[in-house]
Amino acid sequence: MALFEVSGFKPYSEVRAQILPFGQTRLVDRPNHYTFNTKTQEFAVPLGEDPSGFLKSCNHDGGVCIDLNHGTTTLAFKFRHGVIVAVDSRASAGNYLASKDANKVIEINSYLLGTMSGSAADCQHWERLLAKECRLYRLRNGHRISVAAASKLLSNMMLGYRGMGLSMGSMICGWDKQGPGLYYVDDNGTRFSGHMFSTGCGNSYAYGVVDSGYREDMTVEEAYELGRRGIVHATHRDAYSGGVVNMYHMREDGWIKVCKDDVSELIHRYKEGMF
Amino acid sequence: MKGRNRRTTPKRSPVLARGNFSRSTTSVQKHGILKTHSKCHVLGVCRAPVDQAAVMGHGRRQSEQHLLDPERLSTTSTASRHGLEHRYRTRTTEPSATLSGTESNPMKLSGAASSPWVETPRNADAAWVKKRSFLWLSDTCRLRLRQTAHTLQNAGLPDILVWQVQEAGYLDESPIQFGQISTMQSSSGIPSQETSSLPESLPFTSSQAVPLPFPMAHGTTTLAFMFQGGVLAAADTRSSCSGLVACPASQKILPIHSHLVGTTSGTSADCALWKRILSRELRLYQLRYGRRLSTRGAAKLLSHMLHPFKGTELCVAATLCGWDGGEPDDGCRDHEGSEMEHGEGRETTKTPKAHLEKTAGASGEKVSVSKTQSSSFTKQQCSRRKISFSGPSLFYVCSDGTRLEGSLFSVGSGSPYAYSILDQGVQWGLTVEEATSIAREAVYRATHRDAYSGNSVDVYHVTSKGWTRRTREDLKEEYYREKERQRLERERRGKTLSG
Repeated sequence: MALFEVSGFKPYSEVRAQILPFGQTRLVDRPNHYTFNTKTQEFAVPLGEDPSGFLKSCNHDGGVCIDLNHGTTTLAFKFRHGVIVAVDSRASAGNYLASKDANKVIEINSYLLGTMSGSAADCQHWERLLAKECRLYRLRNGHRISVAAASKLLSNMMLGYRGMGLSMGSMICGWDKQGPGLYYVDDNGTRFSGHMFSTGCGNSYAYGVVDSGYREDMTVEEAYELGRRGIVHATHRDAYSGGVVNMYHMREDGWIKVCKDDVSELIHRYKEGMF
Repeated sequence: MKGRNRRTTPKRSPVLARGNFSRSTTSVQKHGILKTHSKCHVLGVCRAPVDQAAVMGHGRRQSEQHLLDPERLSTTSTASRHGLEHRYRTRTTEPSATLSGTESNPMKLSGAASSPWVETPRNADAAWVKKRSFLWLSDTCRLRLRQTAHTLQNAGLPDILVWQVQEAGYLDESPIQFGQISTMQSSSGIPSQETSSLPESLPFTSSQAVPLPFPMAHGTTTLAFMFQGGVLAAADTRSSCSGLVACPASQKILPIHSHLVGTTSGTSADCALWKRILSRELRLYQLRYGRRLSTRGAAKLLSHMLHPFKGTELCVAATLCGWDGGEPDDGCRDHEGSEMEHGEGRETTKTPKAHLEKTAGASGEKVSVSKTQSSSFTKQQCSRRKISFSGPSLFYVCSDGTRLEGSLFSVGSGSPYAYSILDQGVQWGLTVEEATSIAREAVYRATHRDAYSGNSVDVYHVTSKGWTRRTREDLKEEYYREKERQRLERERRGKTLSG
């Protein structure tokens, strides 16, 4: 895929466009429709399809009820010693638990992490695409992409498909020349920089905990504990979050995976002797 | 009873007000209030007086006057179509004689005071005022009603249902029509004693829903939990109306009686009204039976009173926090199993619980009482347990029918934020100061993140001596204090690091 573009091979659609300039080239089925890059920022959609309309019909009003994978709790916060990223591991499809051990953090490269919430498929696909773009950037420019630029790429991808029913809430975390970086990117194209974010349907529970315990100058151990508690209390109250806490710590020299603790054990530990 | 049957006319409509006690005006016109207060003795009274009260805003004088004003009563009987006529008989049988209407059945409520309502279109605000003003009927007003009843009684008319609590009435009515929006317009089929002013929009079996003037929002944060020192209830004070802060200093924790407070969430008007109704009912219970109704009983009462409005837009989500006093035990009490988890109350339904260990327990301990299938056995146990139960209790009641017992609840749009703080900190062994600070912190965090919660925090503490209230505290100060604390902490740490 990458080599194909780098080599400058002229894709069929461009040739065709020269011959038939007024054709509906946008939604044409191209042989390389699986590529998506900074040059061709379009996704081929079969003619006649309307993804947003289809998805609208999939909600309760339309009579059909397809539950997409939405439930999760992820949180990330920036502090003096880097960025802590903590996620749960439950993948649910409506009432069914598709997985109790899903991986919701994608390791884009050794200094960039992306979290996933919303539709699992959308998140995985687009973040892998983002990983590809980041690698290409590194190859072309000789230096690593910044967190701001990476998050901007992702948000532009989302904007290209705005209104078409994508569902993704992701946090791009990394360490670049400006220090620790944390951005929240949404399927609407929202892109925020901040000190602390939490996404998913359990996010409100996590916000309560992390807000009350957050200080910019925490020690590393305190930060680990805070991240764990945030996820644990959210999984305790939210039905769609659970499993294990996967926690990563983004440091100057790259990320490390801190722990993978089972939430039920943790909640019992926290609540021991409470009632 | 004969009289009773006679009163139930064939044209009795299933519906009623039951479903229509919402903000829609037509519903209020149609005996919404009556239905609500079906348990109230002053049934017959509320319609006429309320109407006037609504318009003027001063309930009392006009209400008394109108109570006995025969002209008032002689107008249209929308009520007659609705099968509640038996309830108003006392008031109307006398004046019905003066009716120009041809209705021969004295049972038909011709004196429908609903007609004055019916004449003029009401908007939702007036309806709200009507609801509130009903409660301000004076004692003289009620006394007069009693007198009327006596007169009628002496006149030989059966008045069996006058003082009877009508709570079973709605059970006879079909639940299907409740709250439905009917397109049937003037198909009442009742001979028209109605005046021409009766709007056609009153259908026979259900009311036309009037659209709300603005979307009502239910944003709030309230919480309550039990600990060794009693029950603590805390709430924010912001009343919002989809984006507008209607009142930054509203009161969401309402005391019901000396040992019971209720937090309110949902529609403020509904909550305030129902709290008042509940406190009135509890007072009546106390007067009749000489003891306070337990929190469990109060929760059940509230839940059953709200049940007729299930499916409508009534929205009340309240937690009743109380201390059940040292009175002789009136029933076996179920407790949760040996592990009390936060907020995991069980639904106190009629289904017998699993067989638990039986201990004769004292107050405040985790008492497990065995509850078996046979009630006689249960009664036996109760009599054996001479120790009176006294202690804190906490119930969550919702207008959709939920009634849960628990040890920790948080209700409202800000509740997720509060829950996680409470989960971290609430234990049985907290001191009062610690509990207060946790409650304040939880509300503060919720107000920090939730747009519909904010302004100040109220904290109430219920003990065996009754409830006490902490001074209302503005959370803006808390925010600045926290910022200051963080700044100082940073400086301090900066100094120690560099030093």
